[in-house]
Amino acid sequence: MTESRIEATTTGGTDTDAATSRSETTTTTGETDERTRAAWRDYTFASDPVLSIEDLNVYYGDDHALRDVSIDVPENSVTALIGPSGCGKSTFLRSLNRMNDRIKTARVEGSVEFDGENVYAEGANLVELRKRIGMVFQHPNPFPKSIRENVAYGPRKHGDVQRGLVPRLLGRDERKTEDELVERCLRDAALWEEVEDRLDDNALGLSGGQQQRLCIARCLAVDPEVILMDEPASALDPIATSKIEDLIEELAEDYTVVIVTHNMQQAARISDQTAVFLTGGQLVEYDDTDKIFENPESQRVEDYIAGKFG
Amino acid sequence: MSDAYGTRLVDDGGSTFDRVATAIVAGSFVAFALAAGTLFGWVPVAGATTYFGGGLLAIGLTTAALGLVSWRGLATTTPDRSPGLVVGLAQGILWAITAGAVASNTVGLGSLGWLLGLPVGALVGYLTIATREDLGTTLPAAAFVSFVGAVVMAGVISPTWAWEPAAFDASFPGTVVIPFLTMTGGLVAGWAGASAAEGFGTRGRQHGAFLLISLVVLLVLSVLAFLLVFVFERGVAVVLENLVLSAGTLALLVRFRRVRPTVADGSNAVLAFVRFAVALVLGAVGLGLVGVVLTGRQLAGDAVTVEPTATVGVVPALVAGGVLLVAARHVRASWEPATESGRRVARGLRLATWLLAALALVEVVTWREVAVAGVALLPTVGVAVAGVGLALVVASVLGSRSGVGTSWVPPVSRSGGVVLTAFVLCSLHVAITGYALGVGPLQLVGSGTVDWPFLMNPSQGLGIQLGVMPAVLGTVWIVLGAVVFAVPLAVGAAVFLTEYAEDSAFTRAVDVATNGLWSTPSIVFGLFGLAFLVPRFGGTPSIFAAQLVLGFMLLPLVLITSREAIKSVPDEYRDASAALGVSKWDTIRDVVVPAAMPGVTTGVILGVGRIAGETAPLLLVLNGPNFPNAAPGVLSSFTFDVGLQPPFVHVSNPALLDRASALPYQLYAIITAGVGAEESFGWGTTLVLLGVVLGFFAIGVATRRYFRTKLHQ
Repeated sequence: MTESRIEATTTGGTDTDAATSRSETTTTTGETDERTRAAWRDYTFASDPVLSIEDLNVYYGDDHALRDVSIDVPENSVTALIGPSGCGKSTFLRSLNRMNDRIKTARVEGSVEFDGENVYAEGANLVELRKRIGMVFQHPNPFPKSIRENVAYGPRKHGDVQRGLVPRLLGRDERKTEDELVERCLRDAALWEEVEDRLDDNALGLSGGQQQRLCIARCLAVDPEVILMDEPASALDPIATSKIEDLIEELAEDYTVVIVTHNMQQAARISDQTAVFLTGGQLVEYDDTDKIFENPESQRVEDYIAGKFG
Repeated sequence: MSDAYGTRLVDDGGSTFDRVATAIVAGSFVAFALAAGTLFGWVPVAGATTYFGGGLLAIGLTTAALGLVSWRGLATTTPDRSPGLVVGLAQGILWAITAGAVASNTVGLGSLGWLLGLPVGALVGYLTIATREDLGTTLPAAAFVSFVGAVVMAGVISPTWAWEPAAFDASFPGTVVIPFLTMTGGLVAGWAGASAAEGFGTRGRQHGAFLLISLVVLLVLSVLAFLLVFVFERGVAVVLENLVLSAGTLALLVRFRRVRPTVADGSNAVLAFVRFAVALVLGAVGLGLVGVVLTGRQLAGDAVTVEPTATVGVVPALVAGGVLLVAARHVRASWEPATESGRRVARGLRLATWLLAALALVEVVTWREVAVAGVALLPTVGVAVAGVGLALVVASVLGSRSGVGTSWVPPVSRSGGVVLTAFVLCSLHVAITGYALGVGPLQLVGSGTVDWPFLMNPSQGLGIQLGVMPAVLGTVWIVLGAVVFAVPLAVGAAVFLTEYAEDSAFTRAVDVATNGLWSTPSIVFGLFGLAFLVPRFGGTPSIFAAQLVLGFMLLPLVLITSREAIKSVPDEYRDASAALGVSKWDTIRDVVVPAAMPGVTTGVILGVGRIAGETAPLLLVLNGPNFPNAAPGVLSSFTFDVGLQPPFVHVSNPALLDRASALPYQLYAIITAGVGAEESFGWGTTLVLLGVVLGFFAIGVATRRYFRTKLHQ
């Protein structure tokens, strides 16, 4: 991994307690944000935070899609984001690696600190940011290229692996390096055994579950620190889903995974901590997954998990 | 479904009713096809009118019988209460026209007769709607078909009869009216029969509609096929006149066609049959060729002569060898020899190939033979390598057949590739030096195996020699130039408009302007070229000006199709690429444009199809001699001068700035020349023009296929 920096942060470091007592907006059920926010701020994580989000607000035109979200995401763990449709969890996920920039009407306020640097600061390096915070989408979206080219796409574009006519003429073709990289990533994505002898076949010929694991392998190939997953198993059948879930648990040993899911059993199974978003783009509760599912602080969260609401 | 008849769940079409109905459909189809044949002059009308009339009458009566049988409940059918408004309307119009025509012409009421047709039509329409479906579908149709059949059979309408309507100055002879009536009758009866074959009702209507719609497709296809056949019939004799081929070259081309790598992967019966037929014909031709060589007798047809020599021309050899080499690369299995001797063989083969390639490169650069002590190096080494390769192929085949473990023998595809490479490079040597290469009667020669006067020569006046070579080359150069000029510009503009520019008034204006440019008449482009381009490039009409003008014409279509193709690339690809941190330009270059390539190629195919046959602008901006006596030497007339003045290297090409001819232009010249021009020359030129356009088309389709396979294997 290269040592390039995103941008020195201009806000005051990672002092997470600084912004705890600000907004006093009252929610529909009469609870104040203050109470829930205090609850998740008091929570101590097993590891250091790698992402620290402060007062994040996202607007699509006039639509206020995300309201004052402030949480820390601890390193090498799985963080699940759950909530009803349209509650802003995908928006939240996409604002972590600035994919919302690609939507013309989107406007973001607040800060997302990644390794102590604000990714929304002036002059942030999007290429570097997205290399270090990878993303897997809801629908498997491999390129219409061979399996090998799909995995090697990122490294080739970033110059980590030199391939092609010019490097070959100059004697710098790194076929061996690429082979090793492709094998390692496909093994990490638990796909190697299934595609070992057809690396040069088109990726569109794979099944949906295989395609999604290929997308994970492609994401791993640029060596990210954080992997964002936007309902990665929602388009897959139960067997493919369970493979993806096993894979996510394995990935959490080396990577920080943030996953959006509609499936509460899935969140309960694989995540270490869970954030619950409810309508209006509000983060209602953020805590240890066991706590959220067994003894949530908020009545609304309990209703939602019990299926009475949302 | 209004009836108490039990509906069968499985209808195997086994009842007599079904079989008769199917026979009506088949008979109608035959009548339709024969009538169409008379229009094109393939079936004589004069003696056949009685048969047409009788056939129609029989079909009509049988159709009526079907309706009655179903109505009486003698067959299991499922008719609705009414055939519906559309059928009633159609029958009403049909009968209004029939009654009107009879009243005004046969009865002699003139224009008043057409007015009388209206109540008849209305009555038939009402009756059709009012009766149950089985009667409404069959009876009016049957009555029409029987009536027409009776009239034709009785000789009321005969080939010598002619309809001369009073309203306008035209005459329709019986030779046209009879086929037309037969075709209409065939359609009507076929539709009714198809409906009856499925027992009327929903399934009957679906069947009838399917028949009519598929006939329309057949009609469109037959127009296309007829156009090609018509031109081919008239042009092929003059194009092939005095063609002389050596049996060896012909055999190579035959062989080459058989192993064409673009074999479709579908395996339906028709395709299998066609393939079998092609293989049979090719086999027969091959046997005949062997016979020619062995007996030493010349094989001469009307125009074509096959010489009894086994020499192979170097150009077909290069083409066939090249294509085979590409195909072999596709199927090549990777070979990692496990033993030391295997590695040695692999190294040796690689070394030999490289040596051959190096020798060939030297020969190409110096353009002369490389020889040591009178022995040419390339063919010597080439033949040796090919021999070793062949031996390895044999060893591999024998080894795999006997099951003996031969770990050091490379797979057939590998050693076969080596043999092919040697063959291609030896052909190259022959092409460069012109020396023949071979053993005994089997020779690889530089030229003289094909003599095709019409295609290879310019034409000389007074009908001494008819030829199209200058025009063919002119067309090829102009189209190539236009493509090279227009495609990068159009694709670049499409990328900018789709990927970078916001959707705004500007892009919409560009869209409107592009569509307008595409509909601009070609003569306007020509006039613009003559007034604007020609004075700026040498002052005379020229190939270069024509390339630019046709390029302008190509631009809008390629731009439009490229934009559509790029728009249809899923946004998911762009998102995926962006999420990996890849920049927009890299994404466009490596993901978006490759995914859009099939669409872009489609645009180029369509555009080239238009500009290759374009005549009007060429009259203005190309304007060469009507019958040029020399082909434009664009490649050979490049001159490079190195000077001290900037830009230091001066490139000029007089041939590019000269007047020339092109195929559509020459065709126009032949047609308008009047006295002295032979009609067959025109048809021959047309055939070659069609061939060249279809050739560009084939290249385009192959390119699209290539990009498609690359995207979705």
